[in-house]
Amino acid sequence: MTLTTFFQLIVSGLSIGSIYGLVALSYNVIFNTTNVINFAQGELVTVGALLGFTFYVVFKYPLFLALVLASLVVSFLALVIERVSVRPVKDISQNFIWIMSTFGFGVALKHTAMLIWGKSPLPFPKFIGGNEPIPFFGVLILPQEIGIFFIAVVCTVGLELYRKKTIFGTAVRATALDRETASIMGINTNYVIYFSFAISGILAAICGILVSPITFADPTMGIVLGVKGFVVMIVGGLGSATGAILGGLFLGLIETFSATVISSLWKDIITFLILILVMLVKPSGFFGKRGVTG
Amino acid sequence: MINDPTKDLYKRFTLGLLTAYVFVPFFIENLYYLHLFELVAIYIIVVSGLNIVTGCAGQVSLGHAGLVAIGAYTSAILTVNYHLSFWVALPVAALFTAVFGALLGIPSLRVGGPYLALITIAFNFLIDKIILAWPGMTGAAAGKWGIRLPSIGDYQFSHTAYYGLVIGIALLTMLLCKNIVTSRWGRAFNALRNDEILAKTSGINIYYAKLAAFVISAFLAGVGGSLWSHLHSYISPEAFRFDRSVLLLLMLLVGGQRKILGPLVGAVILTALPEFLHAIEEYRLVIYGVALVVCVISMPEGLIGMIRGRLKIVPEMPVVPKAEPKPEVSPEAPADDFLKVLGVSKRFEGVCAVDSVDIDVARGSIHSLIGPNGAGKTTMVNLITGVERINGGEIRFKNDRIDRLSPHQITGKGIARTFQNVRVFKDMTVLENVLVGRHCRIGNGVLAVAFRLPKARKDEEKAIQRAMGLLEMLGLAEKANELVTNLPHGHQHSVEIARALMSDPELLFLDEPVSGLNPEEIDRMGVIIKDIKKTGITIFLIEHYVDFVMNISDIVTVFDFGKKIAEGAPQQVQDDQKVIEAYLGVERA
Repeated sequence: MTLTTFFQLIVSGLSIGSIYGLVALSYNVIFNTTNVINFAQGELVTVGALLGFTFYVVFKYPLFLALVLASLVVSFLALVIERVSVRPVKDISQNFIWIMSTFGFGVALKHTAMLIWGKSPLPFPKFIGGNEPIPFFGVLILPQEIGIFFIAVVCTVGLELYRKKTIFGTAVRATALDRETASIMGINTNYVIYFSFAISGILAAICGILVSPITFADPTMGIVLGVKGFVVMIVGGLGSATGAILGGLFLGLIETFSATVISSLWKDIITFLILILVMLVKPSGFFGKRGVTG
Repeated sequence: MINDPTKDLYKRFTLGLLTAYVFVPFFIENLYYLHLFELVAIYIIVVSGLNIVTGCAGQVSLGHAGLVAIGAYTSAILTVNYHLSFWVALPVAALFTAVFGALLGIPSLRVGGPYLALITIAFNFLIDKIILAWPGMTGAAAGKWGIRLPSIGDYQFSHTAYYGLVIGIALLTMLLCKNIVTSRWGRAFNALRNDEILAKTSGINIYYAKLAAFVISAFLAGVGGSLWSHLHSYISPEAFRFDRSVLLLLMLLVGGQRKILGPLVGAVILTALPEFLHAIEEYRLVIYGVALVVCVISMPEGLIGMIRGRLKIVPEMPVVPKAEPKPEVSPEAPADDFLKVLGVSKRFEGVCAVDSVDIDVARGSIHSLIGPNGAGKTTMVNLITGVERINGGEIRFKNDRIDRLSPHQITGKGIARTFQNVRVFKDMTVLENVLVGRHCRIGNGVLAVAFRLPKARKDEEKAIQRAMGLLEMLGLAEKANELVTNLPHGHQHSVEIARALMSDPELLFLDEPVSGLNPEEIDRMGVIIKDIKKTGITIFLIEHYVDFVMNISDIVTVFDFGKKIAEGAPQQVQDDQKVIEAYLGVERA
């Protein structure tokens, strides 16, 4: 492997890794307020990608408008998940119920999407800066790869700031710690929870649109993306936004390198083995503090 | 109860329906319909396994089709590539799948709930990828051909005969699963699903129990997979993808978790429905997804549970034999090496909950631990019973170090406990709750209970007699078959005590047994505790209610801020200046 290929791989690893990080972040936002892991999250990303395809490629709307519209629809779907699959669960420690109810929602969502958009991946053009790579010390970088990385960092920093510095972020953290006490303190916890699902939906839509030019808008990608995002969240530590992005970059790099060095068939096998290893060695992750009660 | 007419009718009705269901297919000529019946029988086997691991033990498996794939491919490869007989391939495939079940179960020892669910999804994918990556053996995406129905000598099985074989195995599976679910193992699975910590301190090795659940369910998935491949003569990875796992789970939920007939009902409905709904074939998986949500949210007990609920049929109850007189244990001579806590400390992120404490509990005494809120009393009990690990010092019981043992091992050594704020296995009956405590004193394995070997039956009978004896002593014999959560708080505490006593403890920890009781109940509890003492069991009591403690105890230890500040006979402690200061504050001149 030449040094140029090496750097090339790092760049593409970082770019796919930031997407995984964003998926992890979208899990995190929901987990932070409700202690629920949304097993339909991967499907939200998929629907985001497919809507992006419709608005951007078919209707030829400007990218920003397509992004906003997709985010709106996916946020709405996230709210429906909250209402249908999470709200009725009275005791969150009964994790079987919400695992099954969010998972079932995901199955329904995925197959509805397949009815609407078909079963094959839909080609998605590169939307940031076109196909012309920028040479950078001999390494060819697609503008899009920088764009993805940049967007991921902005989302992470934004979320961390909002969580730690704003009064609303404090309300979110209070709700996560103890919903009952938070509501006695005058926080409308239902509102906080709805809000977190909406934010998570926006993040999922962004992920979907960002990942589309790389993998195409594939109606079946939800589960794999969902699992990878979950792995990243564990690696990064539940509840830590910075950890999520770092974990994403870590997984992106490992995946890109193993695909090149070993074979692309092994890419997913290695990811899943890492998942199991992390669970066995350090279920609490490497950045966060808490774990899910299981 | 036994002569309840509705229940009787229900039993006869289901039995009649089942018999009809089993025999009708023998007269079906149409191969397509026969095929559906064969499929249902296979689903019954696989879903019964899923019922054990997910329904009973609560370990969510979202990738069960991966296990079925292992069974199917193993059997196919053995018969097609190596020309082995079906009769060899079937058990080998099942055992091989069971090994994978154990591997899949290992992560569950560290993590549960959503983590495990994700791991099982990943596992399903992993198996799919491996099948695709191994064309030489598996035929990869093109699938594997030439798998045949079994034969004996020259006799080649027809589909009718194969149906007979498959439904036979399915009925046997249901019977064995029923035996397991109603045995000590079924109780252990239910216990660990309800409350892992409580299960551990009740003497269940939950690691072993979880692995056992995984192995049983994987074995059945392997049997199902093998039968599946010989039924279809052709298998491809597509049959064992995620959608199949979803279908299996849905069958379990529709039929009803933890019900023996649940898998059958679920399998029949979900195999029959698509036949009537050809017009909306495209929407099938959308409907499955919605059905999963609806089932888990609105009818967690499944159809069987709903029907039983309507008919007011309470769960099957063990026949209660006449109670045995409660055993009198002869008190052993007091020895000075009973329970010794030596310089034990425990810190929680900088807070020192217990600070180099020495406690010496003498055999045969009632030893009480009192102290203001947050003094570290419950932490002390958690340390001794292994629920939490000590940071320093040493705990010895009858000269053996126990501070590194797990809770179930400590229970096995003869230390039992109850919990502050009452902890019971919520969706089990009073009797079942009590019987859980006996788990660590019976050695029958899963196979012994599945086949109801004489020893297993005898042990179970004895355990029930013993439990009824204890419940009688506590005045709860009539409530034996009630759901434990239907009992008032005070009675639930008695159930806890009975459960603890079932493990034949020499030392019993009672964590605030009279909190929340009225004066009358408190008196009763005092009598019960003295009765327990009379049987030779040493009692370690944690209590806030000072009058109660002073009346009943031989020795009292006082904690404040994680330190032992006084110890001695009740009167002596009551007069201790430090104790008065701890409770009432320091008087300033």
